[in-house]
Amino acid sequence: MSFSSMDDLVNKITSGKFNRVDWNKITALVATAGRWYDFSDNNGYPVGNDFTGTALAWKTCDETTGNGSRIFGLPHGGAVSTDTKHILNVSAVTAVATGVPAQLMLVDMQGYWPGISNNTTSAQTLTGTPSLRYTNGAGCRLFWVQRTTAGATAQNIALSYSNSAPTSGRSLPVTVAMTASAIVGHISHSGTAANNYGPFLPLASGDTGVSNVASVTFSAANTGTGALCLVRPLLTLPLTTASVAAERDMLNQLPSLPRVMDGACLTWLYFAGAATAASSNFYGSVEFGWG
Amino acid sequence: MNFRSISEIAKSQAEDGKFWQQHFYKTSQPTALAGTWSDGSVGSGIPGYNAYIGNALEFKALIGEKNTSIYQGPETAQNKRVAAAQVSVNGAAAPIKFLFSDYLGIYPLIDLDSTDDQLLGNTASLTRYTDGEGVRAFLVMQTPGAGINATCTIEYTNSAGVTGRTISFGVLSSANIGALISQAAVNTGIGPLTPFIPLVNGDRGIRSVQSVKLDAGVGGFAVLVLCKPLFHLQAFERYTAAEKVFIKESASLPEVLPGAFLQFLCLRGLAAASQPITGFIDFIWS
Repeated sequence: MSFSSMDDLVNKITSGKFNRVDWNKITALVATAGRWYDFSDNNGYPVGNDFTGTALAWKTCDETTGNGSRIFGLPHGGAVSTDTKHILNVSAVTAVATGVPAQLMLVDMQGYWPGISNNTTSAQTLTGTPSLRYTNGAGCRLFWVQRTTAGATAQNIALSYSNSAPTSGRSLPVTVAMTASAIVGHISHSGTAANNYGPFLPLASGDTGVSNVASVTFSAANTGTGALCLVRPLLTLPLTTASVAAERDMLNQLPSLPRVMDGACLTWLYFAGAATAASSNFYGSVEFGWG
Repeated sequence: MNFRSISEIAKSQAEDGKFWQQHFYKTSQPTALAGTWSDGSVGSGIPGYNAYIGNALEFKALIGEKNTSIYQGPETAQNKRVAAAQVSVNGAAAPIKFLFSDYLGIYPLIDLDSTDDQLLGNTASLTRYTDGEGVRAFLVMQTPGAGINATCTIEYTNSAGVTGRTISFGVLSSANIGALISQAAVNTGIGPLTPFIPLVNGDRGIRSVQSVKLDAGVGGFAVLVLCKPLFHLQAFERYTAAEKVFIKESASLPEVLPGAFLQFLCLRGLAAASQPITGFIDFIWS
């Protein structure tokens, strides 16, 4: 099922197949301009992700159980199969001057591998087989988020992953530099330095998604730990001005109606366009319809 | 019944008379700091000033009638929908985000100088969104406070009916009646830049609140409001109306239940005292 026409959409959202969720987040970190950050661990509503799990073992995330410890994804109204659920409208605002300009990206976090050490040059074998909401990880992307502050040693990250074919043994196509002294929450391969890429790790030529990761290897030992997250990006929302709500109508304005899969664990990534102060508040809403 | 097509929406307005346009005009608004939320119901005009009258700490369900909230037109068998809305601000506080919400009920006169466990009465209960799904809470200054921080803990029953849910968050009291004071986390040390009290891990709404406790007195009295957020409008600058035709510009038709106590919250971009706010809402039904 889906929306077959505007009339059909009107019929369905006015017959109860509609949900609005209001969220808010308060940042724990001081963000640096030009870098991406993971908002899933910030306090507010829903609660923050604690990245619980066994080191190097895959942890599935979903709407109703979160990571088994924290239900940190936006509550979008539960499973609707055989209907399909879509994002109709999205908005966000911050009243903090240093919170703009910025970009928010809504992602469906499939899960993550926690407790990966920055402090070894040996290949760290990741375990578990991701159960994904997208066949073979189509369109799914990876990012590394720092979970304990990194040391000052420069290092590059390399992966062996399976693409969405799925073909194993795929490698990052370029040198990807991590950020020395990256703070907790930083997607530490993003930034403005040479060989930074963000928010997602680049994929090998021709790849369009990731279904699994076999190992992570760093070029130099550094202190710190992080989590490798596998997400499906759904939409972006630019914030231009403090106290002015950014709004996107995903039907009329940017016709796309991003689909939200049953069980989707919806969280935000944040691109700082300015040095964003700690304890900055963000508030917004997401409206869903299904049919 | 629901609307089955765009043409039914047009027909309900143009041919069937199932349409009501309600203008509102608030001659004053709470004084608020830039970047903070305030309660638009606490201002004179049309609808009238909302004094949050009720017995201390006792839940009172709010029912919209006549001029107590934004009137939604004659009683109908069908729930109403918001087809369009417009709002403009004539004072200097723009940009302002307006969050229109159905105020479901209140716990008045919570003593912000008390560090005791203040038990709330729940003889009455929600009359709309009765399970509490999607229902959120905010604290509003009812008398002037001292403008200082504390940690507040509430115990509530969630929308699944689970009792004993406790959550702590910061409050920053205000000397301004009508200012929202709840924060998204504990003792953030900055203004209440988010309207709603956070919820416990996994909760999706509040059915009732059993107690409120502060760890330090912050002065004044506050009212705890339960509400259902419905839709928002963003005014970019003074004198310039913010408009939204929902099905065309915000793919939705926000539902308004019978008896809704429809009011709005404001996020001020600039500090400003009282200022006229004017607008209208178009309601339709099938």
